[in-house]
Amino acid sequence: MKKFIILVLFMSSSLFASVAIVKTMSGDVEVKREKKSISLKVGSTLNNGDIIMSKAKSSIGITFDDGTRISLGEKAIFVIKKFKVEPSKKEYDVDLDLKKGKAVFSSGKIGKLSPASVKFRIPEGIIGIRGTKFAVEVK
Amino acid sequence: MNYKFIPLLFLGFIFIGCAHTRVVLLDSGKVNSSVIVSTDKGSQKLNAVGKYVKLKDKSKAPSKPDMMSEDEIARRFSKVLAAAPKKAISHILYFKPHSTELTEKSLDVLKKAFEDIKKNAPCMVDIIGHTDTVGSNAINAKVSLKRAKTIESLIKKENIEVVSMTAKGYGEEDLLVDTPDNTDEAKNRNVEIFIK
Repeated sequence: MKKFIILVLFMSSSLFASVAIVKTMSGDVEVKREKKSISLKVGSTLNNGDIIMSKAKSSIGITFDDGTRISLGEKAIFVIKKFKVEPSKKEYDVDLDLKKGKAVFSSGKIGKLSPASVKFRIPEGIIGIRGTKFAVEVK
Repeated sequence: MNYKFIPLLFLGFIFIGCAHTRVVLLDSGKVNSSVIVSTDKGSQKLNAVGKYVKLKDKSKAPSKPDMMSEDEIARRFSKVLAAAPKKAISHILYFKPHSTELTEKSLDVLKKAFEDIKKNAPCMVDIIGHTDTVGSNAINAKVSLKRAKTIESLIKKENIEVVSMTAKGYGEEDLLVDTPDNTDEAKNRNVEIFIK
């Protein structure tokens, strides 16, 4: 029985392992996770599937596992569809979606290791990176 | 279209289509960086700092790239740029051959890493161990993990608060200095402390 519990704990921790951390915040920013809304603060961790929503006069800056940094301005909606950067297994899959608002993106190790694995979606299309920093404003 | 009037357009959804999405390449400090912006109808490459495209919707190609002035970048993005986190910090520690003992110089670097973890709190820390190519892959995988774990325990001993800490061993898979197999290379016997 003990073994079983340990196994389950291990599995859940790897499934819901955080992929990013909140480093800067101003105003109100929430994350929608499994139908719940949670207020974010500096030090909060973010998971795959999280939807980040900033309110008016708010902003947030987050740093991902590989050092990729993203900041969002007010009234932004940003989805972490998938963030996987595992050089030891050569597994790279980064899928981000800015539905609304402004964002600044600055790539981390993925920009050097596997830039082609990065998909940054916007309503009109997709942004591919080649080791980069860029800004985007979705209307 | 005057940017100042755009917020008014959001009063009615019908006007949203009037505004454009913009993507602009910023200075990342790296040469040859670029982005490719694609819709269903075409792609444009932004390959110089300040170049930008406008997008209307999925079914239209992006506009031809144009230059956005520094003033305009500041006007549109200064608040978002100000919210950007600081760059993650990497410290590299070196080991004596086939051991988990740090070189003298690296003991100082380790102290600097302790300071950086405290200064940048709250943060996540990755500890990634590497070996040179002397010996088998299997043994090197073990040695590299052991090196990473050694550093992890040193950080834990300091009672520095971190949001999360992981220790991994890459063995001889991801060399700092590329060498043939069975090469004694001091620079490849390292542990990277990656502070986010």
